[in-house]
Amino acid sequence: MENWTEKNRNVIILLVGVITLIMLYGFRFIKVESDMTKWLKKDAKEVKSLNYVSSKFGGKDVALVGIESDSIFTYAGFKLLSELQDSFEAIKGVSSITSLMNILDIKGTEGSIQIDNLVDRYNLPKDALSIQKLKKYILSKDMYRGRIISEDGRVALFVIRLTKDAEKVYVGSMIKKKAKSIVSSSNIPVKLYFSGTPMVLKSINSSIMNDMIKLVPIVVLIVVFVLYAGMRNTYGVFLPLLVVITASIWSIGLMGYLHVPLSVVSNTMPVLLIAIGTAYGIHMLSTYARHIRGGLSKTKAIKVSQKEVFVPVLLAGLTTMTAFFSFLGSYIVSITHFGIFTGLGVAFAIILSIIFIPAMLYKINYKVDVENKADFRSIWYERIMEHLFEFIAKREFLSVFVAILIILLGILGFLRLKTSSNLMYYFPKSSEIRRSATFLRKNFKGDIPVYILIKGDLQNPGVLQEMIDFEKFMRTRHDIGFPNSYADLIMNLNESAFGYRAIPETKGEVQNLGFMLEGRPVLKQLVESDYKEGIISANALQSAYKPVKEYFDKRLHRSLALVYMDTIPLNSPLYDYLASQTSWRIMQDAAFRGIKLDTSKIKDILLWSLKKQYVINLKDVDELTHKIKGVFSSNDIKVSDDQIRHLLPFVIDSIDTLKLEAYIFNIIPSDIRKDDPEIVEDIKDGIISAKDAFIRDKKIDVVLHKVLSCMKADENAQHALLKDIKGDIYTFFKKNVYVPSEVVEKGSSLKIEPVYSGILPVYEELSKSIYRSQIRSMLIALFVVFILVWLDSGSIWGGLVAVFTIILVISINFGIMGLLGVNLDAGTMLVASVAIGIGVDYSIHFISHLKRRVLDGLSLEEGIRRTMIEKGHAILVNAFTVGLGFLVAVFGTLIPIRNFGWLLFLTMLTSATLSLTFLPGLILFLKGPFNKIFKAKQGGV
Amino acid sequence: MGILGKVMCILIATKAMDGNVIIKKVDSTFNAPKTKKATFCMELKDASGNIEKRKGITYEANGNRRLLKFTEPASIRKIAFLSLPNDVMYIYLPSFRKVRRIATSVKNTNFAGTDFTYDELSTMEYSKKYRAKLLSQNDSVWVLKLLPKSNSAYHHLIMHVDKKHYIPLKIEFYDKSGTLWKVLEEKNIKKIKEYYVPTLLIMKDLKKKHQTKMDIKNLELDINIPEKVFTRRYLRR
Repeated sequence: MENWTEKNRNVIILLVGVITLIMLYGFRFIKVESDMTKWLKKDAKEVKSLNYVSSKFGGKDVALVGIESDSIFTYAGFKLLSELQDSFEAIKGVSSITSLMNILDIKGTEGSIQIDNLVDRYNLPKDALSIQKLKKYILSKDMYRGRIISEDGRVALFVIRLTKDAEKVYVGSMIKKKAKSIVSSSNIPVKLYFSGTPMVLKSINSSIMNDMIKLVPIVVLIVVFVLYAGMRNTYGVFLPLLVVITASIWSIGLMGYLHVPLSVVSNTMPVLLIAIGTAYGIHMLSTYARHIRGGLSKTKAIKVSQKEVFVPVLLAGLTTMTAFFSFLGSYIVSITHFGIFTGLGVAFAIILSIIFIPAMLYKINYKVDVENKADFRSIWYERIMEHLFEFIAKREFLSVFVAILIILLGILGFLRLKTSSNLMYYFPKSSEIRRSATFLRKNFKGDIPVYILIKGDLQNPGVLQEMIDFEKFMRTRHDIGFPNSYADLIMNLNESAFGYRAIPETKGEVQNLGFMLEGRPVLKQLVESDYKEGIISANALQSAYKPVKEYFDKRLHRSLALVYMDTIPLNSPLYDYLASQTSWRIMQDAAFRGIKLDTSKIKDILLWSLKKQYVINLKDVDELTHKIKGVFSSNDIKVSDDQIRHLLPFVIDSIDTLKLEAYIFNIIPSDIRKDDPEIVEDIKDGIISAKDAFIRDKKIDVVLHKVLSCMKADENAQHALLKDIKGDIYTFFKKNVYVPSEVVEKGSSLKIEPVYSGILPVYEELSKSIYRSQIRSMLIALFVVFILVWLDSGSIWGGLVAVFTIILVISINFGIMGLLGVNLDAGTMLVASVAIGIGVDYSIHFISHLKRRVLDGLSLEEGIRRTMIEKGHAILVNAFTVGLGFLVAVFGTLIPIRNFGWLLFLTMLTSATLSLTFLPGLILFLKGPFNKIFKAKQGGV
Repeated sequence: MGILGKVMCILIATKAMDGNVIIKKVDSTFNAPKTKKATFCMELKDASGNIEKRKGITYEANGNRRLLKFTEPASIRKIAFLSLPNDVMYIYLPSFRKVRRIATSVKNTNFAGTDFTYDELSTMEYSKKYRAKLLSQNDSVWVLKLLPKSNSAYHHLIMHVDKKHYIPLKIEFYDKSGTLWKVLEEKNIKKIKEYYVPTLLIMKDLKKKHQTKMDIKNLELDINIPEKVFTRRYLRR
């Protein structure tokens, strides 16, 4: 190799230059990928289901825009919201928007159903009175309050879903740009808040690029300073720096050509390579300088140095590469990419240090001072090391004791570790994006989309009831906002048409109500056009993952059976099940409003009501008359109250069909009867079902009254709560009921296939992957490093003590992380493996120097003493300088990168310190095997 | 054609064509038959190309009463709508066996999943709602720009009117930002009695990438439709 380098020095320099230019061109193809959903492998089930849901319903990514103003409920406020709605809708990549300006309002007013937009944006209300009336209405509805308008009515929210293939960063920046421009031209004071992935990605992308641009010069400056302090030579600074910069260019350029995007972690690559890689160049140059000082000629010195340096540099490089390649096959794609290309960067730095630097040395005039000014060791340093040795030598057990303590600290810390994959936590608390997100979370609970995909018959009341139950549970959570589904719409419509906040009894009824919603844009976001799939959509915080998963696994039923309650005897345990279900629902409705109820008490009331018959009394006559009159009037037949009262005796106690029919026949004009021969039959049926409904309503009122008596006066006055509970009781009295198949022995089975999807499970999977990747890469790195040290030291004990030392380093790292509450994330998970790869070098240095000293004839104790004095300085200086390079990352924008920086700095210091304290202590403690090995070698020599 | 129609024709023939006069004539041509009875076949096509077919029957009288009943598919069979003067509208929900009134504000929203609004399906009142300006013309067609007189979901409309029969062959609806939103095409013009009527209406919503094709069959005009047809009682039949 030495002769080859000499012969081809020009070709080598030219080749390096050409490759560097080609790789620089590769920068053109570099893209930034900060989308964490793409960090997981494409075939990960969370990613697949998210892609599936978003292809069907849109909304893989959701941007949130909050508008804070005291003037939301004014004409100017509405106008502003309407303009924002128009301009957001026009952005390419926006799939749908939910806001005050387009949300559906379903209500029953004066006997008619009204399905309309909450606010008519083409005809905005102008007068203050009607706006205030609207405000009161909006803030009274759970459907809007805390969902798209804050509790106090001061913050209006736009929930903007993106299309599956939208350019997220573009959409995010367009939303921001348009919102700012519209708000600036508005004449009311407004504050804007942005959150959600598209907005975060934009900030992260710019942080990644800005950090690269900002951090690289700082680390270069530090390296220049350190190199100059060490080498006192311009070329001594230039050559190692040239090597690491070239290696970084090759690595990043290669990423460009291979279309591997930069990510949050890979932007630390140049910083890492510059901090780590200079050591190889320094090694080459200092060896060369030593030989020149030793009196060798330039050519001879280059060749000897190249030969001498090859193995140690390769070994140091191999351990470092091991650290990075241990991320290979990580559960997180971008971490694998980071591992591969940083590892390659290290390999490039080694090759360039061993081949390119010698080639350059032939060409340049590298001046070497005869005296080695840099290589000085002060007396006080030697004294410290002497004392340290004495201390360690006298307390052999101490190292074991300390080791146990540290490992305990490490385990404790590791157990306390929290993983974080929410992009929002990557920003400092003081950053605009984080403050914005916190504000929106405070007002609207959550900002991470979560979807429960339901595959089944979405027109079946049983399936819809399961969805409603899930939403009832979600509403009680402080960390889930805006649960919404097709079932919700059907329930609202049923309430507006028939007075009960409940799912209707039959599929036909659901179909009838659903028909009225057809063509509404909101449907596309919630249900497939063939009604075979639909979603419950909500926005949550990370903390909601587990409770939702628990409900999903344990309470969401997969198989339902239809039961006709008329055929079930009252002593059946089925009623007990239904009463439990209903009391659970009532409890959820109350809990949503902060009210606690005694479920068993509610259940008792429900079971009691089954045995109670409602008897129509005198007070009911007027009401029943009115109901029956409604049957006639809905057939455009006018009858008087008196005529109805005369009819009541055939209805009240029991139905006397014959007399009833005869009476109806008499009061319907003959022309109508002639025209419509079925009218009498129709009216009779109508009256019978009106009476049944009347009795059911009365029973519901009785139960409702009893349930409300379990609450305090101010609690049961809540109008929305009453409606919810009334709906629950109505559901309890249904005649056609769907129950879980396991509750009944027979019955047709209705299948539901649910999928827990959305960004929330993706984040959770990412967190788990970070955890798993951490353990996996750490074990790989430890194992490979162990083998390398074993081979190098020629002893398994050498490998073991080096690995044990590094385990302590990692334990301290996790201990500190756990105790200080530093999250395990994409940045901090790199620390342990990098620490293994680089930190082990100090143990290697120590052991190989010790070996040399013992082979020279020193005793093990003396060898250790000499090694501490002779190598300690170099180890500490190296650790400090490399660590300083890493510390630069604390100037980064993103928190994981900052944490990565200081943790790695600390790790470098601890690994150097431990290899000078714990390692000699452990060798002294073990003594036997080392004495035996080194003596055997001595004998061999 | 009544006296008024004749006068209108003379006016149109003699005077340089004014956009507002043309749309008045368009409206009156559409609303000329006293009653209409027809069956229809609707074809709704969504962005993914899924097609849903619906069939039904309609009755209209005096331009202000309308009954529409669906006959197919089974999931919507017997659902019926009744529109009466003064914005009174009812829906019959067969599974509940109940009639419910629908609030008037739905007039400008899409009718049951189609791309037509309730309004666009009922009487034609362009002259009431829009001011028209003649943009251009050739031998067979006038091209008009219609600007809304009051609040509207549209910024403007471009209407291509057939000079011979006063039928809007094509109407383009532009949204508030001036982007083309919906396109209505009226085709298969047939002569029934003395009237010329389009029997195929195609409405495309370019934003939603959704299309509604309405094929009108068995159209009968100026026939006797009894008053009872436009009652809630009849909705249930």
